[in-house]
Amino acid sequence: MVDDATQPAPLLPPKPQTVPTDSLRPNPHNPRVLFDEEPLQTLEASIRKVGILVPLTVYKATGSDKFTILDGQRRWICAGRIGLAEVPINAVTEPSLAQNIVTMFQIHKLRKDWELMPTALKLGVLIEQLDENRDAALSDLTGLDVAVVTRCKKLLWFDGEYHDLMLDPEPRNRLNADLFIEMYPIVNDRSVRKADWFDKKSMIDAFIRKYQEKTSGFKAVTDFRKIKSYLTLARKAEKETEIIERLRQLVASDDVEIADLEIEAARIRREAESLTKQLGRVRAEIDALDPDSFAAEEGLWEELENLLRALRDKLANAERRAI
Amino acid sequence: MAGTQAAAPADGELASASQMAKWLERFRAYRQPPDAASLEAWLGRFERRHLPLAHKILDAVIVVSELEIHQGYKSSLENLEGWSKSSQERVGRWFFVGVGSAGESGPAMLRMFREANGLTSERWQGYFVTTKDLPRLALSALDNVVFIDDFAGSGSQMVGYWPVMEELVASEATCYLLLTAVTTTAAEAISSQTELNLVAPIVLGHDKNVFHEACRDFSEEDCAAIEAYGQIAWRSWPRGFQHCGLTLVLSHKTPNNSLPILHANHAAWVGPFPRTLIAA
Repeated sequence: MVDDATQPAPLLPPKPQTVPTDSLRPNPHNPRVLFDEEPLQTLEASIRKVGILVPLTVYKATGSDKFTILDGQRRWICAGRIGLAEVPINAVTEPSLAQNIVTMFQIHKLRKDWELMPTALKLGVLIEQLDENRDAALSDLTGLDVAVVTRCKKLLWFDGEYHDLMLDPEPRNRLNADLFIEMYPIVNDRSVRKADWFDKKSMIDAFIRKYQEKTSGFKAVTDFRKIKSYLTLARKAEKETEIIERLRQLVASDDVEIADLEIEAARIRREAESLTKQLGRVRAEIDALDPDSFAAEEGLWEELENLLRALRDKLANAERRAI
Repeated sequence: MAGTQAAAPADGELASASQMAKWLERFRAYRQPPDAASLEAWLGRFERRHLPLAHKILDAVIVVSELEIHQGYKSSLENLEGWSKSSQERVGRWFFVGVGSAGESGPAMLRMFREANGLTSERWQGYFVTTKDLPRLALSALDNVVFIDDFAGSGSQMVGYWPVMEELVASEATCYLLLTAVTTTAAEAISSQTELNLVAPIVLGHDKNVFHEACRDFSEEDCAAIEAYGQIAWRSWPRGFQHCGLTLVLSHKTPNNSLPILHANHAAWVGPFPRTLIAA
């Protein structure tokens, strides 16, 4: 006999579908993902206690008899370790190539020590399929740092033959992505690109060879920054023609060194700028100096007198009007 | 493979005429086959007491001819499940990738593979891609990617590269690695540490490593002498790269896993099967 006051049992949501643990496979778009052991152990302890509360998001790939994990690889690893025969899943429709890549980028953070080229190639697929090329938008879409997106796009700018060099199976022969990322500003410098002798492939090949053989003073990939700096300074000193000619010689000959790109006028300009800044700082400190507080600091006053004499002599030598 | 016993050399000779004739015949499949003068020059590098050992090494050399390589590639592909040149019988999409960048053995082997399988015409061009092309192919479990190379000695290169390959394939596409030859060590490493389906007509057991205990053809004393000469030929890897100690010679290039006394080419040592035709 049912008591009229008895409440009906609460409605429970339907239980999620469960499937054998070994019918799942990790998402192949990010096989290099590594999970830190400590959080995994914490999750494993939790699953031992209460089971897998949040079903894994999976899909059946075309032609496959297995489920591919979109989200929940940590739970799946723990289930395997514990020996759970089944895991709960939410099966969704198979994502498109672009959707899958975006999802994987968002779930798995890129590790700093990973080869960047495979990531760049996938970003290339996204750019093509989504017709989206803006760094910030791609960063939002993928969860990759804007800096990583920018680096990947620099790699994609290089022709396919250089992508192959970055994907060489032999680590000794594989060219580091950083080499191309550092080279990019030189090969794309506006003054360089409009030079009548400029040939993109010849220049890239020459730089690769010089870097590999350590000729022309190349020691590290960061040496390209020196070249860029020389280009910028020469442009400021209105010595563009001269620096571009020297760069042509550097590309063509191993007898020309990176340091040879430094143009005297540009060097003087650079040193003058640096000295002006330093003098400005010293002047500000002298202005702020309280004579009463430092009255007993004889050494300081003597040095100031020396400075004044040196300034007068230098101004006279430079035929500046007396102040 | 060790040949039949030939007449011993006469006093003062580096090798008998019959030995020399036998070697010249067996080695003519190499791209630049050694002649009698170069073999004698090589034998002359050994101390007199080591001449029998040098003869034994030459007897042990395995030369794989270009024809054998072609036949191997042909039969390997024909036996892959789902492959057919007929679109009616072919299952899924197929892509062939030379392992390595330009200048590496893979792309060079790809040319042989195409010839061997009659896939050289323009209409098959879309089947041949490089690793960088893989992400945009939207591969699925119905597709097949066949990586082509010539030889794996230790398997470490393929094992180390597999995560990158896997990420570029990024699907359940079936991945094959077609080789001309492989050592059992490499085959075990590749099979256990990658998802590549390895196919290689020639499998070299541990007995083909002259330094391995399974090899009965060379005594400990022989091995010590081979290693000592190997130090002159290649100081870093006197037993061959990754200590593989092989006597394998592929018609287009001797693997660096073979004994360096067979393939070095520099002022201090010139082997009968140099990897570089012009001395370093």
